[in-house]
Amino acid sequence: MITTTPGKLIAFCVLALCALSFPPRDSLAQQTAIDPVALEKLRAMTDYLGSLQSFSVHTHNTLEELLDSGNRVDVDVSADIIVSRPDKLQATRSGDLVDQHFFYDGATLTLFNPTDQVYATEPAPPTIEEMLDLARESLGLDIPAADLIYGNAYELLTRELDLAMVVGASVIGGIRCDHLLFSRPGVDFQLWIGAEGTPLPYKYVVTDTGFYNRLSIGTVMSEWNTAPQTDNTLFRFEPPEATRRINFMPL
Amino acid sequence: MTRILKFVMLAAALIAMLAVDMSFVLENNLPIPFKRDLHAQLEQLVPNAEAILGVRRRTRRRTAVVVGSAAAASTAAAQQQAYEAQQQAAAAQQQIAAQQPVAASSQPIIPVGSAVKTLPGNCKAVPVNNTSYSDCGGVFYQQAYQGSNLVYVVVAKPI
Repeated sequence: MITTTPGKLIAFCVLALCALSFPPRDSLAQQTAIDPVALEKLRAMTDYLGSLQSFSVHTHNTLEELLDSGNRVDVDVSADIIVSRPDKLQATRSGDLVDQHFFYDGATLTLFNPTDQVYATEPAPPTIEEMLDLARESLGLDIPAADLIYGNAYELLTRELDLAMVVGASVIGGIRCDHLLFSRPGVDFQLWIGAEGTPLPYKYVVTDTGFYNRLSIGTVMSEWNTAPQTDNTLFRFEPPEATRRINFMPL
Repeated sequence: MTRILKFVMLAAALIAMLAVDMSFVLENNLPIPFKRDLHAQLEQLVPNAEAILGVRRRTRRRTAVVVGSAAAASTAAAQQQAYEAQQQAAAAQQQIAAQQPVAASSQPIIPVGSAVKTLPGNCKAVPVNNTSYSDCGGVFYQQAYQGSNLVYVVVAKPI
């Protein structure tokens, strides 16, 4: 015979409460969808960009920063980039008090500040990909939108994805684009890829979701040129007179 | 007996609910006060976005050593010690600074390796072996790139 003691009743209530207070897993599971159409569009873009022997693009980068006061400010830097695969890259940055040239000719990389008349040169590996790794990991340098320049960008971008979706249609700088959203642990990124003609990226926003303030870095790309001038002299740095050579601080 | 049992069961229920809610909060990156510290510890160890440069840049920037002025350099060195990863380096720097003080005794000692964005006043250029140093009241600085930023790094007195 079953007896109902207060103890048993409470125990039942405890179990019921535990069951009720679990988060709604099903609704979370719905968000972890990978839309193959979004992946296809991403693949089309990275394949196309990877297939280009050379290209140049104007980028406008907005970096969200947090002041110590907690207020958010944006720092804007524009950069013109010329890439010639497999081993040449040149970038010119101008913006909030930045006037800087970056040269990579397959043997060395150089950072040059014309206003301050200083430059630093380091030996560099023989491919753009290895050079970007070195610049980022050993020197603390970032080339705007470098994520997309990598030859294996698709593999890098789709690693650990738990969300890939087409947000919708959009127009960036007069170009009709597909707006895509991808998510992986700690990072969300959005891409706007040309919907008609060549699948070039026109906007790229990376959001740090691992930190509660969710700061982003955004890049708007324009003036794509898939057949730019790629004179070797463009990528080689000749120090003008009166410039001084300095060093990179090790990280 | 039943009273004690009741109390124990209720307490257990409350703890269970709290635990469940907590895991939900952590999973979903909700802004709760201690989350920040937790993340600050983790991000040093686990850069979770190898390819996504923006996030890496941000992490690095938060832990950068650059400080606004030379006067703040010593405080920055103290703060720097708080970062576990850099603790040893900072200690080593301080030792060097203690052995060969680069500033006159009346001034705060600025550790070798500290970086500042702008030089203090009254500096004069001192070229040594094709390298240009700035002598600012006995503290020597050498210009360098920290990432893409131009900074002045405190160095031992060049011979």
